[in-house]
Amino acid sequence: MLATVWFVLAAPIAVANDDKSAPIAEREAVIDALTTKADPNDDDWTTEILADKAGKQLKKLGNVWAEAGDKRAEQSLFLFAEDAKIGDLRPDPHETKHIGNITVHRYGISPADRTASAGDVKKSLTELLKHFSDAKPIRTKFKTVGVREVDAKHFEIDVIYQAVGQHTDGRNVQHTGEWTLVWHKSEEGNLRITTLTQHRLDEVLMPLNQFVDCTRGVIADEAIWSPQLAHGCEYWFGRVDAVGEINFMGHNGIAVGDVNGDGLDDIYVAQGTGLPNKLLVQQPDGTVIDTAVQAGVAWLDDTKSVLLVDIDNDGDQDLLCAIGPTIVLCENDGSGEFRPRRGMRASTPASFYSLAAADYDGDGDLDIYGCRYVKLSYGVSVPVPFQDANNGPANHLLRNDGKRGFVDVTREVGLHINNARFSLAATWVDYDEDGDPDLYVTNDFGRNNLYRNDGGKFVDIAAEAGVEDQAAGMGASWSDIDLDGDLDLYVSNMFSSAGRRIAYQSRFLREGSSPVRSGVQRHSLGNSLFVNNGDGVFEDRSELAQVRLGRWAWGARFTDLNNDGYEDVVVPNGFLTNLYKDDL
Amino acid sequence: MASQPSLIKEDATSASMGEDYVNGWAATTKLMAAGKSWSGNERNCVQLNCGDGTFVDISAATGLDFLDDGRAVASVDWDGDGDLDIWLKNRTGPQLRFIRNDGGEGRSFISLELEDHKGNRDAIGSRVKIVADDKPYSRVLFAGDGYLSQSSKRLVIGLGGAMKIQEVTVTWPDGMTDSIDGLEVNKAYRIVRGKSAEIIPPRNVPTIPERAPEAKPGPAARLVLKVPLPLAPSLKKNLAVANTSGPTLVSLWAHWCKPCHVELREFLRTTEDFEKAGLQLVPLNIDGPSRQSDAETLWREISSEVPTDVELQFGTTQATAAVAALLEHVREKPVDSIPLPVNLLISPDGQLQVVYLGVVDVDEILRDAGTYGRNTVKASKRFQFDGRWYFRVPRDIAGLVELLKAAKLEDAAAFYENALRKP
Repeated sequence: MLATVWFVLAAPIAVANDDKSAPIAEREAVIDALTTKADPNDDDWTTEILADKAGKQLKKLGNVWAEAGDKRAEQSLFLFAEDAKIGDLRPDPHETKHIGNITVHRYGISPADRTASAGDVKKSLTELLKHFSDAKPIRTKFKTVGVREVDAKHFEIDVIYQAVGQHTDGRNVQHTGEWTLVWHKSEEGNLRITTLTQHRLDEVLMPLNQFVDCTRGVIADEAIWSPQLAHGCEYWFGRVDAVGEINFMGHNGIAVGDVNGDGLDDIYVAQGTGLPNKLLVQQPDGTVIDTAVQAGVAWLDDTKSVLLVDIDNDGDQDLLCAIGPTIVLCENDGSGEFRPRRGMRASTPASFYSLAAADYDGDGDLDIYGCRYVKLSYGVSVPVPFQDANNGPANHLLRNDGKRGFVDVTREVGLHINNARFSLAATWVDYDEDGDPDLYVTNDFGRNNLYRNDGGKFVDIAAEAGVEDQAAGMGASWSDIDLDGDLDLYVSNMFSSAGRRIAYQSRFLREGSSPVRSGVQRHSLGNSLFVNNGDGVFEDRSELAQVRLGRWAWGARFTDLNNDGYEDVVVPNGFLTNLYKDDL
Repeated sequence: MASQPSLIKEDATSASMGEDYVNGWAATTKLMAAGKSWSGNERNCVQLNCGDGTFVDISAATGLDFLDDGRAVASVDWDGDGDLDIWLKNRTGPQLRFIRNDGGEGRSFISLELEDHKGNRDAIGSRVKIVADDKPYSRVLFAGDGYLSQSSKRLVIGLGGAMKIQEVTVTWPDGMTDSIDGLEVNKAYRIVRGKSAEIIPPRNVPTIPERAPEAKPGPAARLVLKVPLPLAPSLKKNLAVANTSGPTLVSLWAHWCKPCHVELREFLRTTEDFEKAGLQLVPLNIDGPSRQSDAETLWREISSEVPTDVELQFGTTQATAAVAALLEHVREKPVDSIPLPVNLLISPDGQLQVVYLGVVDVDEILRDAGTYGRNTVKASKRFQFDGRWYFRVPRDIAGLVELLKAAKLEDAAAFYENALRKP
């Protein structure tokens, strides 16, 4: 996460006195000063300077691995002290699994192995990279997630190591490991690794071309591709008239459904301000035709969540679009053409983000829950407090009353409780199998809600069920991951290396109370997996199950990729990639 | 983004976090708007369920670790071959990706469509359980999960190679269950509540060609204003816009801007077309007084090639400030320097209609002069792409006033302030 924000959080929390608030000009100067602060070297956080320096060294190591072929291990030696200690990086696998055509070797390091012993660095690295073909480059990523000063001359960092290349037998090979590196700083400021301890290593071997990018094979039509879909917000921002919501964050969703009843799934695609939403209707050959204009749903307004559901139970897929603070219902005439029927507008201007539909009251039609995230806009509507924000806009449950339209029943069903969070997504699921759908709401900057449906009234039992997951939540997905018959929960959150490094320093928030500190610390840890115990309580298995690393994870979804029956997880992520490569 | 500090002030609760905290957010917002990345260039992740309660990272091995700013993901057996393909929606270009799954092939599956006539027709909220090889696989039918995403309602359930189905149970949204006998692997069925399952004939599986999107630079920007902006008289003066019966194209250029020269030559070569369209060309140089003579020399060179009546105009520092303010207002993006070439299409009634950034095609300008150069254009027709607006949103004139004041264009600011006061 943005270093500025973490640094600012590091300052002691003071109760501001309104009378003392600075005049705007002065304040802008402060803000300007803060914008230059993102370079850790400008700051007095020595651990960040160390992490930055070590990171640069590891990047050099990555360059060697990319290019050096059979000289990889040898050319890596520049990074290690002469008497460096390094363990056996690829001992006999602790565990080997064959999952379809994927082979997984797990090198769980036993406690005895953890103690690094003096060894031959070159031999260890050669062994580590044994399966990678010398002829193909290895792509690496080292994420520094912890940093500690040991003494005046030494510090250590925790690193998530990832590498991908081609196996000597032609398959893909991927490593994910966890290391602790002890560094020595010479008086000239040179850094050398004195100890490399490997906590675990997963090695995956997988055939090539299991997943094929056929984007232009499906969207073959140049007219909808090049002038529009080929480009994202980093391009369109500043290229559309800034009336309405700015096309910047890219919170525009997709919905799959068969809009014309021909038995083939189609996809409706939301876009930002000024760009028309697309209705991509599948043809028998698998390609699509954009029928949005003639179908009457080429909305140019910024559209976030979209759903294709049969709202009026007439056997076709109607369309719901979240446009600003309004949920727009367009009724399908059965042929894939739509007529706008109703716009359900919230009483405050906050935009709707994710929508989710279910029949909560069992009356036979679908009701709609809409999440709202920020009162005005991101960065302006500041979450307070950061780690447990309770100043967000209200979410709404709209009851479907058939021909009479929709009624906001949020309060009368009890969903107004804990309803001022920064909500990004919701899922309806009957997790307790009592015949009505319960509601899980994922919130940024704090705790999530699990509203148990008790015959049409809701009670937030997230805390007692153990699924509050106080973090930067963005999405949720459910699956019976272990085939024990009950549904388990996966929550996509923010994973931030900078946050992990900074928030665990002893000086971080030292004047804050311990729940504040731990709450903020939790914020950068990453995704969560809650395994259902079957008795209404979930167990947090995120670390054990190794699901943390999802990066800046928006929606994660369970999807069985290899038809083995166990659902895997696909995690779209990344916040803002813009013109300037340097990251905040 | 000049209006932010005042907006922050309105949020009284934020004061409890301390001013540094609030200012930190404001700084963040400013940096984002200035085009900095933030947790950008992150690769998508894929985690393989190992079947023992743990997952393993296979992001790179699958090749699904795109660098896109991913947002939404939906799974669907798009081509009907019995495994789940993937649609991804991104913030960055390409905005969409379709990924064909060839990884499930050869392993058995069953595909189910549900229909509920007692409850919601789509049977959203139902759960199916399939027992095969003594393993109970279950799926829930969602309408919205993950983030901003909805996946297919046709459930495709991998069976891990099992060739015989022992049990199929559908738990409908109200908790009632149906058990269905006699279903076979590798087939698709429609299950209507209370009735037996009917088989869906297999589809002729199309071969969707592999073709990844290529990265291409985007076209020059053409902003058709959703709501036209009447220009204050002082701004018209700054931009050397005369009162004419036709539209005006103000073409901003500078000596250092090579693409501007190319564009001006092109404009002058097509003077006749400009005249036919009744379009008045105003080449407005913004080099400033110190380079005025260089600009004049260059203009003589350009205009000598084609006889023209078009007169070169020189913009003052106020003209530059006015254009910067207008651009920031229209784009809501900070303007450090004017991204030349910039062209402004203004209708006869003095309203700013279209803003072009970068080198524009003359034909496009002439087309726009025909469409937007008249005084009234239906709001619903106002964009470069076909589509319709759901909302009418007014221009943020108050924001423009602030920008003009900051640029010391007091007359223009006063004009818009007056306009705001009128009902």
